[in-house]
Amino acid sequence: MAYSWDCSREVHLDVWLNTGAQGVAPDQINGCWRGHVKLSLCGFGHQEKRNLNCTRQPRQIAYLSTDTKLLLFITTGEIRWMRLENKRQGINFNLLRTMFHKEKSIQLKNSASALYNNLSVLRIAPRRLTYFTVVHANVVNMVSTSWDGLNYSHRQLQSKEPNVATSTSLIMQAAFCALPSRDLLVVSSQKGIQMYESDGSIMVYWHALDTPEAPTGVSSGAVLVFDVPSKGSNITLSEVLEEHKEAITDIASECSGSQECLANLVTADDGGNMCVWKSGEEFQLLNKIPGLDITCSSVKLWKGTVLAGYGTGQIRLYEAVTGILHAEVNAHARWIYSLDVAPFSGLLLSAAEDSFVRVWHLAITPETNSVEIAHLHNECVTDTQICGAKFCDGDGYAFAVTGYDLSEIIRRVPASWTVSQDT
Amino acid sequence: MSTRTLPLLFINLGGEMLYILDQRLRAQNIPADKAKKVMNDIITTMFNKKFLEELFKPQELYSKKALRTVFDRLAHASIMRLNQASMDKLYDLMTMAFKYQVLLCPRPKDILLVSFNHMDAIKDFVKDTPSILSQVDETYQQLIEMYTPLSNGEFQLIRQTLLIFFQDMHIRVSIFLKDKVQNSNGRFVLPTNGPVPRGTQIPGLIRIFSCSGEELTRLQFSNGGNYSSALREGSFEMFGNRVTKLGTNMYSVSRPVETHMSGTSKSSAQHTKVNAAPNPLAKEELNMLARLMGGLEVQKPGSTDTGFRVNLFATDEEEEEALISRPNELSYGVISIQATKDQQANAELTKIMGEFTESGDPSSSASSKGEDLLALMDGL
Repeated sequence: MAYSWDCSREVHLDVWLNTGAQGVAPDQINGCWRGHVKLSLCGFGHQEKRNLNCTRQPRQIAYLSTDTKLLLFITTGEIRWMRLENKRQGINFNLLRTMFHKEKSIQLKNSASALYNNLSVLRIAPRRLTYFTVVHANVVNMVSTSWDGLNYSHRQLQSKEPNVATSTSLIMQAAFCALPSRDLLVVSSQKGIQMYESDGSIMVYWHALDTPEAPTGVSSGAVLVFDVPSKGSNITLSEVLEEHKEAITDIASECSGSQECLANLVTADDGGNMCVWKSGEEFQLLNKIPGLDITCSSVKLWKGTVLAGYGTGQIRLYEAVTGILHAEVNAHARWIYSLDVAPFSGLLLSAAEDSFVRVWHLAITPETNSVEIAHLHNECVTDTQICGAKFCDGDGYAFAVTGYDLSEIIRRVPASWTVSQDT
Repeated sequence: MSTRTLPLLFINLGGEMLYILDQRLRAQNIPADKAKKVMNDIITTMFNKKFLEELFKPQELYSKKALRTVFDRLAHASIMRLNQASMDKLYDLMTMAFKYQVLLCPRPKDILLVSFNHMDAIKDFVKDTPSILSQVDETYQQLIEMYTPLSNGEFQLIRQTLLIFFQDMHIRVSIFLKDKVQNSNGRFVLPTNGPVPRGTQIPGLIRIFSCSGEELTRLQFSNGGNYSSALREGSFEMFGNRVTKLGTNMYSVSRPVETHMSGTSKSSAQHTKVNAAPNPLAKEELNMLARLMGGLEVQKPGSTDTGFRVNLFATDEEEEEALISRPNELSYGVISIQATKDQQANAELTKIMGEFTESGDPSSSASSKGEDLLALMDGL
């Protein structure tokens, strides 16, 4: 049986969330909270109170019907139900479909360039801000937006070489790196790599890349590993990994808590070849997944599974350590430019030159080695070749999109959900 | 970005320029022999051996300013004259046409097919003149040699480099608006229907595999578009059916070529001399330009009895109006360089070069480069 409802529909219940009242002590981490949901069921001629444990903030609560007296809590991490008569709880709904609706776009100072993964997002929970970066030729546009949607501030970083004030070089990618102790903004251009504090205020490090006498315009395929201290600019190059023969297109990592998860880094190149690594004092190559001469433009690592997007428009899911192909999706009609995964909910976002952003749901069980991928939603950005798409938070509640020649960041939030109950 | 972009940019823009000039020559009823001379002269200059040698060297893409200067020179390589406004319009049309072709290429590699479409048409223009024909054939060889070994990823890099060059250009072109391939806001229509590129499957299928590699499940999803199977592969050789229509002459049917300028600010879109303030980037570009245009022979503007003017607008009044009303932000700021044996011009060039000497420049290359430049000019 499938249930669906509109997120804008009024909830028939009064719910106290995150108020700190009624003895609830919320613990805010990244905008989610751990604690109790206190329910007060009003309007039935009596008052009833319920407590429910939720590890994620419920986004939507719906009362399905008076006869089933079933209450559903949708978080993007899980869908819980509670039968009101006997307070029985469980999690056994499948997310079938989500409809999204537009949120106000963020205007940029210039348009986005056609580069892979041309959007990076960083949530700063303590300050209730989100940073977005989009590359335009030799400039990084940074926008900082407050969560209440009222304040926007812009900053532009220009790629430059500290010694030679002549040419400004084109930027290949700008990305936020969330390290355990600090966040950095890494900007890579043809001439070198710059690292900034996450707000773009100070450049903390510059690494010049060798410029060969006869520039070929294609990088060598080396992966540079930097040691970053928790404060300050004493960043050093610790290792150079030379396994790839072609230009590196994307790198993905996963900080896995579980000991069983061996691999925590994957690198992809222009030939579609991928290398799987384990970090440590020295990086260890665990596996090589050969490509089929098609560029892998975007790669992510989640629960030990490599999620790769290709120039042919295909998405493939591989088991990182063994290279076993779990799934293959004919996802897009043109070159894929960006993939993103929301780690807490298993939502996958793919975006391509074909003007489409697609949302998928992944279900991966490492223990049983089973993988499922289901299609949830299509979003067409008319007449735009999309070059960046990212979830705005770890739950995948909202996502943001950039496109070539577009001077805005388009945003979407869920409008309605459809779930089915396991029988 | 890619250092192999310039030849493709030049050849495709050149091809578009020839399509437009050919159409205007016919529309203005220029006598056939004169028209043919113009086309032959321009094509000969475009495919000058020394010029192409410079062009095909691995290098960064020129700025818009520098490239516009090259095409200015090219357009005046014969007895035909164009006024400022017509030249601006010509360049607008050329660039928007190629931008459209680059955007709509199903695969990055198809840019080469688009280039071959232009080359095929150029070859047809000069099919009666063996000497020029052989130049064109040689260029085919160079293209094939340089580009056919490239991977898809390298072509995508070339495409991305071209897209950066064309970024934020949204000039509305009448023909595109009429054919509904461009919206009234200047952005091109990107269809979500039609054939998928070769090598891509129609979106809609999910396949799940077991650990041993057998297919466990197949699921379908709706792709939101209306796609069909890929067309057959086009030919990447000197001859053959290119399959794609991108890069073919859309002006064959006589249609007016108007552009609409957005913005109403008045501007004096004159040739601007290179800024005298020390600008190291311009210096480097000047060097490149001079090297490149060393190979471009220019007709002396002296004898004007066989010369004539081509107008890209319907009337002279319209042309004048266009010049006055062209918005500031759309002016190309052409660099004025005369690579002739004219003494005064040489002196001016040396002077400009001299002004770019930076005191902190250790290699003191300014003077030696200036001398090389003069030597190159003198060699013409």
